[in-house]
Amino acid sequence: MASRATRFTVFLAVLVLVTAGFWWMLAYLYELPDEQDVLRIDRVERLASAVGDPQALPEAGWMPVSLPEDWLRQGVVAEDVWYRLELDLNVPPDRLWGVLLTGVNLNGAIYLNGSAVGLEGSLDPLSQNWNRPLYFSIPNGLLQPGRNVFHVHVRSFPAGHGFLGPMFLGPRDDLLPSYNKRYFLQVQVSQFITFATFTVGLLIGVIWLLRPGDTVYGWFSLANMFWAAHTLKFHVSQISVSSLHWAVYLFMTAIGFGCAMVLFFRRAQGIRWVVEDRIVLGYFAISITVLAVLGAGSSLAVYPVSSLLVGGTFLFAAYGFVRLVRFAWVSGNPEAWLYTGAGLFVLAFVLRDWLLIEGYMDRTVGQYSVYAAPALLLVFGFVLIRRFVTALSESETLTRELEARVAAKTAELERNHERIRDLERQQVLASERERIMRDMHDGVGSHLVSSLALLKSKHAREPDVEQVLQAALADLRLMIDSLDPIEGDLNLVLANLRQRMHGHIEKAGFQVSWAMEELPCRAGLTPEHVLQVLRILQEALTNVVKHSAATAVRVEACGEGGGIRIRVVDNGSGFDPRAACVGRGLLNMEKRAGTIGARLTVTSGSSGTTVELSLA
Amino acid sequence: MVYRVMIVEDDPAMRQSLQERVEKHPDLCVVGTAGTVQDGRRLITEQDGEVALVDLGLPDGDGTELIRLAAGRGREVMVITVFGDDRHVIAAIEAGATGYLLKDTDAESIGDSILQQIGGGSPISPSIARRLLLKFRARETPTPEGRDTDAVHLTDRETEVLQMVSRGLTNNEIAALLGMSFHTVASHIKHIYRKLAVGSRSEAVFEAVSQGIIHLNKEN
Repeated sequence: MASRATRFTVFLAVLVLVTAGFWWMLAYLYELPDEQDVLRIDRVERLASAVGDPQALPEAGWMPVSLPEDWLRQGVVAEDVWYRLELDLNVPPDRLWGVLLTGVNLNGAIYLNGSAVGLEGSLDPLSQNWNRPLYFSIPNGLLQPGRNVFHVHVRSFPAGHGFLGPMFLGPRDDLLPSYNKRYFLQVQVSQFITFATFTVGLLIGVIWLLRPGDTVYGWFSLANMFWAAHTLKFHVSQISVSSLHWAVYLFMTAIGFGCAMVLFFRRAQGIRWVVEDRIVLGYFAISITVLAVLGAGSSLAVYPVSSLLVGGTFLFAAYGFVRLVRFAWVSGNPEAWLYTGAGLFVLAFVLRDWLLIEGYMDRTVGQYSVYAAPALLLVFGFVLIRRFVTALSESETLTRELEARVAAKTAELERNHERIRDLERQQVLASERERIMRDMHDGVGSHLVSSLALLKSKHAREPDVEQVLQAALADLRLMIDSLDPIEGDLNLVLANLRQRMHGHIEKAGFQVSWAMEELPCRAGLTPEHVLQVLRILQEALTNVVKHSAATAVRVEACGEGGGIRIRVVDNGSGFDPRAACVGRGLLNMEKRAGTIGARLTVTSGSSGTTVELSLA
Repeated sequence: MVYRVMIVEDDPAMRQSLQERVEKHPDLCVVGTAGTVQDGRRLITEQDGEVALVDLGLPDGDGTELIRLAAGRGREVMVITVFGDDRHVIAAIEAGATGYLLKDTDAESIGDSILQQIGGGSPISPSIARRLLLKFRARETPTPEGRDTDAVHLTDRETEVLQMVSRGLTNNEIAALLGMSFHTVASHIKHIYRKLAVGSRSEAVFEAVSQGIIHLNKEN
């Protein structure tokens, strides 16, 4: 980044260039006609008189004066002033001639040789033609060879700045270019400035309405509105109120503009609302009230009071501007530098115009500052828009960042969940594997080991070994049945058991009946539940076959109170629970029932045995 | 008449035992055995017979292709299995088997089972029945045109039979409840197995066609 000195130099260079360019352009547009055939009229005679007709003018009392003439400076205290010029023409013009008034305040009527040549607007009510060139064509034949007399009747309002600038007489084609340029600059550009300033103010005002917290936009908008309202004076010619009231309006808008600008400056620097700001607001309120009162009473005191008040506003603005420049210098803030640059630009023009108004410069050339002021507003507008856009971009960036962060967090969360789910799954698998291993160890494993033991022992009998191996196979089948996904349907489980055991029991000489009700589906029936139920029932049925002296056995299953109840009922002679061969089996069954949270009840008597399994 | 039985089983002791048990029945005789897919293929193509007992777990491949081969030649194929679990049985049925046999079936029952199969019935278990019900229900979901035929869907009767089997009722009980003979119940089951095989065959064809493996002849 370039050093501070370099940046400052660049800043100055740009400022000087822009100012010079602007200056040159305005000078060009304000150019006066200097053609050969054009006569510049600046030596005239003046008489203060309120008559309306040049014929009625007295012969005496005329004072020679030179144009431009500023009444206030010449001590002319009147509302109507006549100017007179005698002109000798050798040859009457063959082309169309006209007369160009470069500046008159407020309005003037032209007479040639006693006839009215032209008047723009009217003298009563008084048109505000102070900021425009006036051109009148001279009708053919009015100009005589020899002596011609021009009269100009200038009217202003009380305490007004009456003025007549140099006039030009000559061929129309020589006068019109200058007229057009001045008209363009003074009227059309002014109109455009009013419109543009108003529009900018409106747009920025809308932004403020949408973001009431950013008061900097609000004050800027207000300043623009006041200024737009004030610039009407530059191009509005016919006004429907009295001059005094119009003046009050202009003063009010000027003060409003000044105060709003001061408050805008302070907000733009980021200064919070403090006492000083309230003083400015108070000043504005008081000024408006005073002017309103004076204006309502049409008091002439309006003028000096207004000058004072406007002057006060200028002081505020100047003070604010100085603070701004100091802030820019100290902080190096580019925005502040922009403001400073624009302010200095305008200041140059304002100074020049002040010199002009005070008479140190030829007032004919015209005012410059009115055209520089928009530059200020443009710069400020640009800065505000830049701020706005930056804020938008920042919020977009922030949003993107936040979204990215949220996405990252979500992904991380997902990963964590995945990990937890994986762990859970592995845990479930591991415990299931353990369970199956346990079952195989207790079931098939123990059967095979028993058969081995039997074979190794001397007392092995083939049928015994066969029986044990058959039991091992049956147990394995039972396990596989239990692993079948049944989705809580115990009916299927019991159906399988029935199919496996039915033939076997019948062959052993029993009458088997199965009384199965449609059992309700139970969620939470794990393979472990199924296996234990199957084993218990198988054990019970095997007991019936092996140990009971029964002829018939019935298996019942029904749903009861939300649970399931299964019964194995035989019509044998009962057994002694303490008998070793059934005792261990019963204990086993009870243990199994316990592991799945079921209740086993065995009732045995002389008429038969009932083994009941209750699942909650 | 005496029915000729072929056995494909890789374990020699089991093979021997099966042969002995089958031949205990006067109406059955074993005309050939094999221990591998290769030998089994040769046996089935070269040897005539009515019944084939095929084990799925063979050392050089899956017995399923032998089942398909034998069924294609009009043999009654029973898959021999240790557990009779529905996964193996249904896979075999889809390949064309019409029944299954537990490897440890005693000599008295084995002959009856085989003859029952030849006679038109098929063994089934509640698990297998339930699996079949699910399979056929899945087939009822909208399929591309040309596959919605009765050849692959269960009739209401057949569905009823399967549902009763899945509840554990014996064939006798089912026959009594539905008012049909025991024989009819058994043949219903055989028809259901056939439908499963047909359905899965056409499914396989459809899959192969849609994957471009085979091209249907335009004239067909």
